[in-house]
Amino acid sequence: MILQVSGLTVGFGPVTVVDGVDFGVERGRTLGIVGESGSGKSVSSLAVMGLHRTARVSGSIRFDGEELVGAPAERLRALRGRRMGMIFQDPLSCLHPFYTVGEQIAEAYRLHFRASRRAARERAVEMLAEVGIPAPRRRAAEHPHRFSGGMRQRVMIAMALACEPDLLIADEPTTALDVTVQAQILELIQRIQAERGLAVIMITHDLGVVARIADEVLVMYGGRTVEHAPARPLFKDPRHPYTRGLLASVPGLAPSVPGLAPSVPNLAPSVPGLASGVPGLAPGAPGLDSGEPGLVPGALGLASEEPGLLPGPLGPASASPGSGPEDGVESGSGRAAEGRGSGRLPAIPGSPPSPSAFPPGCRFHPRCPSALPACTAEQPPLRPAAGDRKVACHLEGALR
Amino acid sequence: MNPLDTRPAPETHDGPPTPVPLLSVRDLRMTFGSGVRAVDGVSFDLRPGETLGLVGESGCGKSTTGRMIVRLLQSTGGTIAFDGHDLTRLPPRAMLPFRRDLQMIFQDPFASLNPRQTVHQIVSGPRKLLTRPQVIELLERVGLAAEHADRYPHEFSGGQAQRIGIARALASGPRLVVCDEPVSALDVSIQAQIVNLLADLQDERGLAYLFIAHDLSVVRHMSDRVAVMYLGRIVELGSRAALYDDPAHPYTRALLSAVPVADPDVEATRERIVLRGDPPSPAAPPPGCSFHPRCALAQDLCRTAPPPLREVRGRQVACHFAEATP
Repeated sequence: MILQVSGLTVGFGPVTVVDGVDFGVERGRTLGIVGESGSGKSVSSLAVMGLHRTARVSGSIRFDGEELVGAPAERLRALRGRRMGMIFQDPLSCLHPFYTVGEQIAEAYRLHFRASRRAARERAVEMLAEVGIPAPRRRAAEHPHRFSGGMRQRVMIAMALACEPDLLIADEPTTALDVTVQAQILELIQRIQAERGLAVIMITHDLGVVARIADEVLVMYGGRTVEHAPARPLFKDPRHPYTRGLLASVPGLAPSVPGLAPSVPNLAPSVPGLASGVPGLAPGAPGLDSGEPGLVPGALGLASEEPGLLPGPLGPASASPGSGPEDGVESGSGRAAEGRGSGRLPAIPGSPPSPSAFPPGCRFHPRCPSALPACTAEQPPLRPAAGDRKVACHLEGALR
Repeated sequence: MNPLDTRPAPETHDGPPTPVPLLSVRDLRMTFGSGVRAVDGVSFDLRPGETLGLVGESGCGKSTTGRMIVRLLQSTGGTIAFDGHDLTRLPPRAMLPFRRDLQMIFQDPFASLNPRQTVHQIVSGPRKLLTRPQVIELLERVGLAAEHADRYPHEFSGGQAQRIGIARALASGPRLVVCDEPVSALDVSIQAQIVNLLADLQDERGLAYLFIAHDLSVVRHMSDRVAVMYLGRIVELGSRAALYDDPAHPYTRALLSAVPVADPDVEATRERIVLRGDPPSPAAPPPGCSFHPRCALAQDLCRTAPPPLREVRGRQVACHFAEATP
């Protein structure tokens, strides 16, 4: 393993944003980290790069055998840009508007390799050519505003890779790009990875991007890992209710057959007596009021999606008849097959918790269709499960 | 054929037949002062209760089209007939009655809500269309609660703020709602909630949606018919099934093949058309077919003659070689 992170915990003041996360990546492999806002995915990767100035970082981050937590700033500076590169979502805000892109790519190379300006400039042109920018010598002398979004992301990749790092961390690198340009950038990252045996950590909210390029996937929710698995089993047979819900709620592009249930396992637990009474949604349950300033207990399910789970006054009023989570696929639109044939999406009720007010117990329990009383009290540990994976759920094994 | 489709193609017919379109857009144009033709002759119809998806990449003119329809932007050419009345030349006062019928939901819920107004003020609007019980009823319908009425937008999460935006749009009882990227700023798990809410409201109230988005899977889920825009023009317009299962324009095919699918097996095996280069600037569109510099099928004809929008296999497509496609 070029990178091995264990028990990583990151806090800002009183707020613990990442809480005991383990992951690692080998040369030539890609780890996808998936999560929504506040899940801690970006904070974890910034901690690996040593880019948190004021945060409390604990646990262990071993890069090529060397411990980075507590390492002197100078040592981190020597590794950053040289052996670990990073690219971000918005390339324009990461490029200096006053300097030419060639100067910016050359800077890190000059510092890390004590190269001459001329040699560094040549290196910049070489890198621009490698990432597929036409007329690289001319383009190296231009400023960032002259580049399109996709071209800027190529410049960022050239900059991150100029010193031949062993690890590339890509934080939502294609989120701001159009889909055809996204395809180009993903293809570029994969080509360079294959050529150089680069280890890649791809942070994204887009499950499709992860399915395209990741070998292994870490699903984060509320600052913790909920599921960690090789990509294929994760997508084929997601185990954690959050992973299942997330995969089910994304409309696919595969042709729909009217009345066909989504290809995601049923969320209803098979253990008798579990289906009724969802403690996490009872009004006054801890964590609900605190989770969202504007949220009342009862309104958490907001949605009309799951009237059965909502004893509150909103439930029946806002629900369209017969639109439970199970029959939701068939109900919804009364239109012809040509209409919204894929029916309702099986949505996860509620919203992701804010790091300043994570619910007690399992952090997903207020939104979980299968939550048990134990889920509200006790945080489930991340345990090994079938198929070379780890799942943090009290119901692991009982859910089908 | 769509490379993802292993099943026989569903039969294609052109949406629910309703003779009178609610909205009829003809040759709509928007030329900005700099000579940029953001929208360059767009025509389509929208029937009552129907959803027309409008997809394309940034800069293709899809949002400009939506804004011209609700008259947030004054078009520079063409007509927008709503219920038979041309809106394009109406003076602001004459436009007022139509404003009740035409509403819009925006991408960024926070940017589109006045931070200094309470939810009640936002939803009831400057003309105080609704009484307090009506506001509360509407808030409850979109999944909020009565006590939210006196709060300010910053007290809400993104998904809740978008619900307020939806309530605001519905307050006047519109017949057509332009949804401009209504879910793309939201977390993945919230997107499905909002998509379901929009679908339910449409079924209840018979709304027509112009659903503008860059996310092809969400558009597919929502739409009866879909229009694909490239550089200010519609390049393909047809039923959802026709477009997604049997795309005829090379650009539509490239777009569909570029969307990553949440299935590693599909991703490992599917054939992908990766377009080279970026979309050209609308300030200097290429001659002939504006897609030809990026098109694998381009011939000499494409470099000189702009292809007209014509009927091929039950949909409209602007490509000289639409029949020749695999």
